[in-house]
Amino acid sequence: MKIQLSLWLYKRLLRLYPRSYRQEFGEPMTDTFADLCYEAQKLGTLMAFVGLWWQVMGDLAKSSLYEHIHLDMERNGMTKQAFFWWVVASTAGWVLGWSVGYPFDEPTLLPLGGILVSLLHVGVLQRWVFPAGWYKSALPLHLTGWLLAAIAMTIPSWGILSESALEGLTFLILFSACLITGFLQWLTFRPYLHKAKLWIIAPLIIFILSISLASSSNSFAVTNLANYISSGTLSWPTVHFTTFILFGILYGISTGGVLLMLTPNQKPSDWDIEELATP
Amino acid sequence: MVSQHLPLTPAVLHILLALADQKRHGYGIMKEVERQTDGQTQMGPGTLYGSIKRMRKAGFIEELDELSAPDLDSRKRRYYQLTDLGRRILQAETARLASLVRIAQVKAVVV
Repeated sequence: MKIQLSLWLYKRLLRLYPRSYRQEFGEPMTDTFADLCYEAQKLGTLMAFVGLWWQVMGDLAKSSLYEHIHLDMERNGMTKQAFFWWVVASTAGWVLGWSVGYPFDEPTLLPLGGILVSLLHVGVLQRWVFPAGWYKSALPLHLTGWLLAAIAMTIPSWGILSESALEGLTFLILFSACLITGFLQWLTFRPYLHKAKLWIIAPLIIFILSISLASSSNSFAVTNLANYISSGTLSWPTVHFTTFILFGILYGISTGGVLLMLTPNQKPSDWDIEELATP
Repeated sequence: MVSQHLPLTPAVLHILLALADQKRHGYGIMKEVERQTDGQTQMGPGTLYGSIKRMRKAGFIEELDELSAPDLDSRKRRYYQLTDLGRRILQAETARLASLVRIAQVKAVVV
């Protein structure tokens, strides 16, 4: 009874592994687990089964995660190196955007950073992830999203709205820009990636990060923290600079994470089909 | 050629050692690893087959046709054995470790 129940549960837990791995090793893994169950049964105590499950659960959690990551990298997806440079590109883009756009405040700063990040990301994609270059068509759409945000963010400077209404409007504009950018990218990626809609998640993560970083439109949570730690000795440009470094790293990790999920799901391109047809 | 694979991870080294004297099935490998480490290393099925997958791809081991296991029940099981490359890698790794032990002995770290 204990063996039947354990086997039933183990077979269901094998779904944690990637499908291809399960197809290849699901059966021998179940056989091996069954052998371990018979061994526990010979000991004749409940604790033997508890001990077995304790060991197996740890093994399942660790190895299934490892197999997913390994599979992603195996399928011409992102390598650790590509992920690293993706995060560096994100950080560099935002910091460069900050450096150039600082005198002009957010309406210039955010879109400029977004555009620079997009351009640097294209370099990373070309070099390490998708050498075929189809994603380049997403670039103008990404830039359109950020430029729309730039235009919309000049509205607060017209001085026709109250401060609280301005704050709400700023968040609404950022949210819309993220959603529009994600939607446009989904349209571009759809012919090439099976799970392209996941890309809509990336800008939304960025929006949530923006909200968590900014306690109000003019006062960043990170800025307050940096000021608190330094007892107010740091200059405003320094803490603002720190904020953008952190924002860039978070932006890179969140968008890189989505890309990591997307890259194993590429649809066959013309190039792949030609390769397959070659004897 | 061989040196590019070194050093080996503990899991890979233990599996290669378990297969050094005879072909084994998955459960047999687990039990042998447990025996040769006095129960200090216990490998789960996930870790074992993940390592087997990568070792097979790298050419360290090969899978044999399914055979019945006389020590277990009547079900047929997949057996694995070392390849020539796997044996050379195991020799190189154990030689590397032995030389480290000799250095440790000279420095009186181990007796």
